[in-house]
Amino acid sequence: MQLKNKKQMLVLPKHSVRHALTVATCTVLSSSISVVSFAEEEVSDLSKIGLSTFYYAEEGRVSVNTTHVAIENDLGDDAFLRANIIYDTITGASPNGRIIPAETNGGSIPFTSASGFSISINDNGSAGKRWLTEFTDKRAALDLSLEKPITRTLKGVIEGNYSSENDFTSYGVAGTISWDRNQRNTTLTSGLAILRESVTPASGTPLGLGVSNCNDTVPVLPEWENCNVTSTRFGFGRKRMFDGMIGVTQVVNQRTITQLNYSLGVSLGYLTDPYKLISVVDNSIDGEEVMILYEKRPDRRTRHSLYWKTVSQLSEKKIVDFSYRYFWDDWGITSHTFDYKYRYDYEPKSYFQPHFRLNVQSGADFFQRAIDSSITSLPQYASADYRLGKLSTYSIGLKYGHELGVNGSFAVRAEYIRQSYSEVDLPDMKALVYQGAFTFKFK
Amino acid sequence: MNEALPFSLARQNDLWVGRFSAMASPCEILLDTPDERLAYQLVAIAEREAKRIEQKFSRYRDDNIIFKINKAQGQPIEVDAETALLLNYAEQCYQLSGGHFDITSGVLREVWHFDGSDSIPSDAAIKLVLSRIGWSKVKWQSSILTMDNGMELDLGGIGKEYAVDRVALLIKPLLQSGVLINFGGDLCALGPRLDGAPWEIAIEDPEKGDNEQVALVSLSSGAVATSGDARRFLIKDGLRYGHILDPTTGWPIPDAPRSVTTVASTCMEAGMLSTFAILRGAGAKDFLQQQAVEFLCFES
Repeated sequence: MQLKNKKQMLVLPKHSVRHALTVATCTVLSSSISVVSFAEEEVSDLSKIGLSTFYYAEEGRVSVNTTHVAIENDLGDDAFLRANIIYDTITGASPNGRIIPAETNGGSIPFTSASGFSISINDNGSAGKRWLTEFTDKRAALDLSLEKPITRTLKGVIEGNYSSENDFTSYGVAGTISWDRNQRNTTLTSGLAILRESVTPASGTPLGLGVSNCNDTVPVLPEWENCNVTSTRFGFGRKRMFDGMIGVTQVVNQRTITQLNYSLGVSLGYLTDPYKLISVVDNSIDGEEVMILYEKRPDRRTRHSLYWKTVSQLSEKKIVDFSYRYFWDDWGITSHTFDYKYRYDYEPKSYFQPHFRLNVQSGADFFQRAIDSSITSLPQYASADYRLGKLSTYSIGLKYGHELGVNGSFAVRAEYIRQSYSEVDLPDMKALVYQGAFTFKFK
Repeated sequence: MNEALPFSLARQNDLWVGRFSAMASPCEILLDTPDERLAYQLVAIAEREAKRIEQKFSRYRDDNIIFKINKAQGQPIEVDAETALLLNYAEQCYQLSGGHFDITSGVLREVWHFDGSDSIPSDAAIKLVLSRIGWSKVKWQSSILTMDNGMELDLGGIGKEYAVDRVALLIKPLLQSGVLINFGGDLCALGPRLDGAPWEIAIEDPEKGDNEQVALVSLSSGAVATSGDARRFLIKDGLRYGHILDPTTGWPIPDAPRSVTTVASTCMEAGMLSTFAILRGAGAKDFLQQQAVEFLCFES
């Protein structure tokens, strides 16, 4: 073709074109000219809304339906406003602390009913089930938090929460500060939380270890002499909780992150459960229940917890999440909790996550299954609440998550929980959990 | 409230991958970070910058500076600073290429239709179009441009590479880990992978196309760009006519390589070196060797 025309054109540079081109390119690109009007803050930040429904059902006992809405609003500049709204309905029957009768022993014992607004606690009509208290309740909770960087390496979170049931109110504030060190490979965290709770049974709170009901059998202690007379009731029970936490999070390598936290908490005030009872049994007549007392717990509890968690990405598709918590308090309870999750991304948008959890707990010093009627003085504290006794719980579960396009994801989870009691004659508690959750991101 | 995003963001093999379409090309941002929020932010910046450049410099729009210049009918047009920079650059490239790279050559497409057919324009038709081509005929005194009626500017030979480099400039200060920008095969790497390894870029075989890779380029930082006629050509009487036209003749560059890939510090530089090489025709390889540039040249 027309190669000869080339000669008529400009003379080609003999030397490297590249140097000149580099200079020309740099002129275009290094110019400080502001050709874009949008700065970082104009980039639409992403907000998230999460909806989840949670169903927890214990076999023959309590079931809980939870609806949870979580909103995260990205305020830009790494600041977030988060809100959690939770609504629970709870129905069923919970062990109240009374002994389980060996056989039906004639008639049910009337139980002081807290005839609240919608809470109703009734002695189960059948004597065989009187160790359970049936109840229904509704709970609404709101939690607001603001996360905001203070400096480039310092971040603060402040939080307020409020929760209300018909007979229970709780509100609290909390603050956390995180400090990134060592090129963000180490994060030091410290937090403080204050919570106030009040329990307001419709008929007031009972006298600790006061008599709830007694049989005709003549009791021996002077406190029990007028046991058929209505027992003393008090006003609302109030408690305050103070919790402090310090922690360190360390990036171990590109695939592993580990976290160690210690927290110390103090609870003060009315720590007794006004609905829990303890049986007085007469061992001379085969341990028959002769009287029912209200439980009584100390009005102070100091709690400690050590928590260690490691998340490691084994390969592109496999993530292991292991945590261990050691808890102890001055009530004599110690507990060990192991939690293991294994996430497997079986395709880019979907994952399976099996879960295993084990908790072993020793009982509180004042836990006792029942009080012997031959005692000469009342113990200082006593509770037959199975949750304060020696118990072990394991759960196994499976979660499946799937991304829906760019903006959404959903997850379903099922879990089987079994709790066994070695000091209490309660049958094992078996529970199932089902959860479905959707998350949407939006501008 | 759930307004569709103008891009997609997905987790793939340890990377966040943002995808969108701009400048008639599939665009990808590969981010080696576990931080979804950061990935979202960076892809959003990239997408907006790419669309901004496309909107501002595309010759297919009727609301931008290029349209204004092309429809000025001989009237002087004052251009903004960014356009002026690009026109200065185009002028330098014109000079450096001895007039073979010319942003006024776009009108040749009125006679050349690279649709895979065998329709070759007549000499007369080409001559007629050639009269409307030539940067030397344009009066350009930053920032006023005056151009004869019938002439047209087309920044298509610069725009995509410019967009890659602009995006790199914008996101670089926000980076904590490696990112690879890929706008339709023009790439720029900003830092190595998290594990320190370079990005691996497959170079396509122009004969086979469609992801038939023949070479791998490892790149921790820097840019790669390819010019060529891999997919746009005409064949008549057994002769292949590539789509890179010589504005001095109106004909496809004879004996031009099928494709040239170069590695340079910026995408604009890599792209222009590749284009210059192709414009040299049979001399492409020699030219590239003189430039002491890393390259891959598929000759025809």
